Amino acid sequence: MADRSRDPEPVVASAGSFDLNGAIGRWRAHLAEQPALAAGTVDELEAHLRDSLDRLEASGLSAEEAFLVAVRRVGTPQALGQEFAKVSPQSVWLDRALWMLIGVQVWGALSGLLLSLAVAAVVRGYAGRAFSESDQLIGPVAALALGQLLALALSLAVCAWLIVGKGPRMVRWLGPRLRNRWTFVAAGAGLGVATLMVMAASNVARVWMGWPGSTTAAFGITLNLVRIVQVLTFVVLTLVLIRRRYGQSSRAIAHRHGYETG
Amino acid sequence: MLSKELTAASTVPLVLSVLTEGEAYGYALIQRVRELSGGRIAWTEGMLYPVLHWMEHERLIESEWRQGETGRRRRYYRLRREGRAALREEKRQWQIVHETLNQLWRQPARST
Repeated sequence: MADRSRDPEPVVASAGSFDLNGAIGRWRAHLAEQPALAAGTVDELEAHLRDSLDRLEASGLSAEEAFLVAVRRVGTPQALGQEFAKVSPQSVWLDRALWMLIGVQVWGALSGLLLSLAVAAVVRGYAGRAFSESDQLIGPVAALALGQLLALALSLAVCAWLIVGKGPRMVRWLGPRLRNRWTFVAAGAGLGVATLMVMAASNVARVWMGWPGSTTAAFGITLNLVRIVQVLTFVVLTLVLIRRRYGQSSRAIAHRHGYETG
Repeated sequence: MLSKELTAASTVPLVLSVLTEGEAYGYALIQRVRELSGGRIAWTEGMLYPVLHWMEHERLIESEWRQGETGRRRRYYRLRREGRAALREEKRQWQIVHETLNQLWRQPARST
């Protein structure tokens, strides 16, 4: 008893509690950080790892030891990422395209809405006042500029928070779920409707501030139809890219094929 | 152990040759090469996959996800006709190197 308490690392005690599927899941997440490693490639490497684990465990290693050896034999995520980037540069490009698409949409919706709101607020605030002399316009113009700057700063901050802070985790969560056709359609419809509502809101803000615009109704309708098609195309493209890049989770495979180690 | 350069140069002919025995997934390919070479050709295992994907892109081989006997899903690779042609060419070239070196090494040392 006294001897055991002096052990610096209770290796044997922890061996029983080693969570293999959890460890594989974290390993997969490391691999997925490499832009050149698409979901299908990570699946293939996982199948390899599990074959390797079987053989190592059969030769007498514990699950944890086998995992460490097998992971080492496969190679580091960085080295693998570099090799895959050499043979399939398009996958790296795909990853960039995905984040550019997400960025363009979030930025477009957000900055559009906030800018319209800022302009509307300033214009409404000064509505009804008479401006006889031109230097009286300095106030409204300065307020307008300030409002727009604030709106831009706010869009930038929210964009950064959403995409850099929350984005990777959100797409990793969404990716495997998009394999289901109905989830895909629902996500597309949801995102599309959300974007259209943001567009509508900025239109309402524009009308509310009393800026009907010089366009005819037919022109406006055509313009809006084009934008709706554009929004839906972007949304579907983004979802397809997310599914391709983050399509399958380790846990989904483990459950489907009963790889539980128990 | 093979040098890094020779390992890299021999990967494609090795993969093509193993696949003439029938379709195989990555792990089985590695095991087969290790077994035949007596453990002297040891790839960093993950590094085989970029090569396989490149070979598939070049249409030398083709792949298919399938469930194996154990129930595990694996990606199986098999030769395409272009791959067989590429292997014939590889064979010809490696035999040139092999025969030339063999002749040189078989000759009794003239000087020294």
